[in-house]
Amino acid sequence: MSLTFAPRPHFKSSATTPGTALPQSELSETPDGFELFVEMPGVTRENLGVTIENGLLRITGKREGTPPGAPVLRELSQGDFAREFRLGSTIDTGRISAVLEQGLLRLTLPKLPQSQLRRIPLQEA
Amino acid sequence: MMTLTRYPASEATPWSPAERLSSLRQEMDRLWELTFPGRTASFFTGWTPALDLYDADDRLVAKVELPGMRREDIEISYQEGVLNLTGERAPEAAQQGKEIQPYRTERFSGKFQRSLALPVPVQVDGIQATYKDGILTVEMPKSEEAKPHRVEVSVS
Repeated sequence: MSLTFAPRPHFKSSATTPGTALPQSELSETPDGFELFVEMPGVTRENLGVTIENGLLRITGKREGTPPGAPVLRELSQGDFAREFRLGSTIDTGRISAVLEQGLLRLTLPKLPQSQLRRIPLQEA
Repeated sequence: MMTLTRYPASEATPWSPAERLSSLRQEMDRLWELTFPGRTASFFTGWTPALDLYDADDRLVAKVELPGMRREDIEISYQEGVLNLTGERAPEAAQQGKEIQPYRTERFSGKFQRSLALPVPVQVDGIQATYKDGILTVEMPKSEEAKPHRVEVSVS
């Protein structure tokens, strides 16, 4: 199934960069846009990267810090986070805002003001 | 004591991972009942956050992934060699209380519980916990007898 031209945002399910962990995400729709949550435990604001290029939203998170001792039990995913989201044609990329709080990144993706039905008149030949 | 392991969320799925795991949880509840009769089966409901445990010579350090929590929603307790973590996280959509339609979610929500049997005795009064950048860190100083030392055993 091709989602290349999907009007709504959607996210890629596989890692796009080898050796990175795929952060768990949540996408919800509001009347005026979308809310995207990305789990980034252990990532500080300085180590977070959010870029948009050609409708592709790319989120990266670098995790720093040395282990405090010899590992006894390890379950946390290792390495940096990276994930890409295709924004679709309805998002106003110029007004996207992001907040990082306690390892949870919240992105507000406003819709373009074009939701009303528009009739396109046929021109005279 | 058993050690619980977290089931890593598989690749992005359009339904809640919790639903998919519910039958497995029921199986685990049943197993738990068989092994430790009397304990409630609800022990396994909810989700279990990922945990790292480190041995830093004079103390144990546990690190738990809990992104997007409020401090007051995390409870930490210790009893008889077991560190116990509980809490609850509402789905983000519900927390905001506005007209919002979940579209796709991979995140866990609801109650969580995590119990960890510690490998060595610790000083209960010295346990310290901090929550920063979505990581809960619990530092537990080892009790004196648990610190690395050498014991000469006389052989007669």
